[in-house]
Amino acid sequence: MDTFFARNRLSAYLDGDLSAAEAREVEAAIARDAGLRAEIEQMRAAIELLRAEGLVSAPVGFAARVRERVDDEPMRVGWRLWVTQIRPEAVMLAAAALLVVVYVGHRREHPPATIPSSEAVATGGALGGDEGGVDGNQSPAPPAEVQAATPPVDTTEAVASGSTRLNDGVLGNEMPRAQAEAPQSQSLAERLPKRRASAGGVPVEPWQPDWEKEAVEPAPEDMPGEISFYAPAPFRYRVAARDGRALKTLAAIAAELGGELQDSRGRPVAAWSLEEGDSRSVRVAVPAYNAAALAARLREVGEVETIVQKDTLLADPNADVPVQVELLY
Amino acid sequence: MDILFAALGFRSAAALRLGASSTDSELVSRFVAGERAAFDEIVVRYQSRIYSLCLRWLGDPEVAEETAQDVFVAAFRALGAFRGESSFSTWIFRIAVNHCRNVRLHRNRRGYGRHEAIHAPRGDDEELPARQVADEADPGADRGVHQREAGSLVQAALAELEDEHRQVLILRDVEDLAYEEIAEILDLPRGTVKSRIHRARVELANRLARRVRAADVL
Repeated sequence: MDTFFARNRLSAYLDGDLSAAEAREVEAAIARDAGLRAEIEQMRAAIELLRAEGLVSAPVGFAARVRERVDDEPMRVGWRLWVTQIRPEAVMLAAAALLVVVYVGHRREHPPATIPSSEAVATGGALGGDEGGVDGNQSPAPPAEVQAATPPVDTTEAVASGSTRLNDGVLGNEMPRAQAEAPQSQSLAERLPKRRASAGGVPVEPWQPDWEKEAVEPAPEDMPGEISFYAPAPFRYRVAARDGRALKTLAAIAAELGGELQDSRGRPVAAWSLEEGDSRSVRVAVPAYNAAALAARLREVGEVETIVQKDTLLADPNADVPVQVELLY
Repeated sequence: MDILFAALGFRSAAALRLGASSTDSELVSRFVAGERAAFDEIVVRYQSRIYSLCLRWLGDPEVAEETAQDVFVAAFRALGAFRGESSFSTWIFRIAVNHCRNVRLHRNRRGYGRHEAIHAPRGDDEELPARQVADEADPGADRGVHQREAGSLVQAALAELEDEHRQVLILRDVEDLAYEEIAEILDLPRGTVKSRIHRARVELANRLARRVRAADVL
């Protein structure tokens, strides 16, 4: 080991932190080199002086003064320590998350009780007006070129489906986001595509923006037979009517229970008679506390099959809930 | 009987009878169980070591005591969270090192400048304190005086070192901690601690030698 390496190991040598072989090499280097010998003696003297200083006793009364200071401190053990370690940011985040959960839960269990009036729908305000923004937000109008490219709509089916969508959207649970964000300057009837047969009899699907597709494509299971209610009501029943007066019977029951019979577009029922082979989809908006009674009394109309019955909506008994009835005769 | 005590997690009956002191971990356990007096024992056990560290690092006895008190208050607040992953002494020394480091930074920012050792003569080109000069002029000065002089020289030389050199020297040669403990306290690799101690000792030895020569000249 040369002097350089030995010099860099003097401290470790004095601490006894070298292997036996290394220590012997350092000793040999020290024996050879007088400068190294002087250096290690100087270092040893410095260490001895430092160690001679040693520990200094704490001032008299030190422990008592510390005790005085900690006497005012709560002992942070167990849950107290856990609480003190929570960061304020985490508390705020948790509070915000809790608020969101509570709000969403509230919205789910207490949907807005208002059902769009027949007048609002009948005047063409279906989704084109204020109701379109379920949360009160007005969506921006589409670009001019989109409006220009949007084909006119004329099918009754589309209008009917639009009104049904409206009801569900107002109820607050199932309105698709795309629909909520759709431009509101047009009614849904205007935005729905034409379903015309081409000259060859093949249906032609006109161009349609993406945000419209979800709004107009009904879920297959929501289209039993020819009856169109695209978005499901929270209570849905299928009734095999006993006679052609079923609609009148149902209207009477609805009136007794504080409700009103409407057609699938939310308008008052116009045609009351049922012919054999007819199928009609109607709605009855009744207070939630009467929803079960209505379901029970449907047996007066005919044989009842329950399709959907979301009991959670009964959490607010005073809220109106729509009951969808599919009458088959 | 001792086996029974040991099985139950107690110190031996003999130890209890003799009033043998608790281990650090026992004191911590008693504190976590709610026994406030256990902390008093911890303070008594570590007060001199922590105070020495603060005094050697900061130089000023008043500042050192205040800092040492802060260390114990911080330990009191955090002791419930001590998980025993390191030894208690390592844990409390780490708190002390951090406090001293912060106090040094704070004092430097506040314009206190470099460390000034209370008993120490100033730099090489400055005069020694009048008392030291008077003692040296007296050929009959007793051994205590020489020891005090030596102490002053060491403290002054220590004060001139860089912080990272001073802290490892205090931990190694004043507190007599092993390389591994120092590495854990400073969160450094063992090899870094070893080389840093070497450089610090070389630096201290050189500064002491210069001071001794200066004192001889006077």
